[in-house]
Amino acid sequence: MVKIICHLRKFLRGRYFPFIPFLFKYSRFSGMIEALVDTGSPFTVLSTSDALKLKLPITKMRSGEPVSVAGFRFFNHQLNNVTLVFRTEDGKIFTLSHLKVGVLIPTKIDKKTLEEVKHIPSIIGNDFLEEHRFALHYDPARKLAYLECI
Amino acid sequence: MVKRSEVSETELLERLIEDSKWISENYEELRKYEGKVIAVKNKRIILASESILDLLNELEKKENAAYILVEAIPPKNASFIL
Repeated sequence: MVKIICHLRKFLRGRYFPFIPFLFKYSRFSGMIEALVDTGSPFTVLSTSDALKLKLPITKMRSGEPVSVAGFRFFNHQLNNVTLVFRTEDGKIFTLSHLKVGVLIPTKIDKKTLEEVKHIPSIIGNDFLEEHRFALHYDPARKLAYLECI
Repeated sequence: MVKRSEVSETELLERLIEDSKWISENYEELRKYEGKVIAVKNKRIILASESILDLLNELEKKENAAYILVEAIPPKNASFIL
């Protein structure tokens, strides 16, 4: 059984939210990402800030399904053949390959917008949990959260 | 600067997890950076800026930003539903 520990932090309004760290690899782009595990999101997406950090060519990625996140409009630009690398609770490497992951590309790309959306995190959504048979165990009172592969 | 190729994937992941854990454990203290973006490496804040673009530009001068944890600390009263 695969168990991946999430880190809880008081991200908004003094409330705990579960974040999960992993390595992200796509084509020649790779880097360290932390994503909010959000069962309310139907999509797994890389945030605009993380896309900038990975130097993804966001101006050439203005396509995809229009989505609204935190009051901002984005294209959910799909990347194919993405690899995510996690560390399990017992210290082993757990790799998922050939994934489809979206990138939040603002419909309007300018400096002001890129700064305004900087607080929107990358998200591990319901699609990821369902497709890879992960259960989220979340106990904010005990500051405990982890993903477990069923 | 340590080149990406000189560090194994396992080592990178270990550092990422340690830094991520450190951010979570010290998040209350990091509230002093509200509204800003910070870069964390080896459990230390190596850069802070109000601008994500400025921070990434500055970070790139000394590190491969992709392999550094970059965290935007939302303002205390920020409220949004994802």
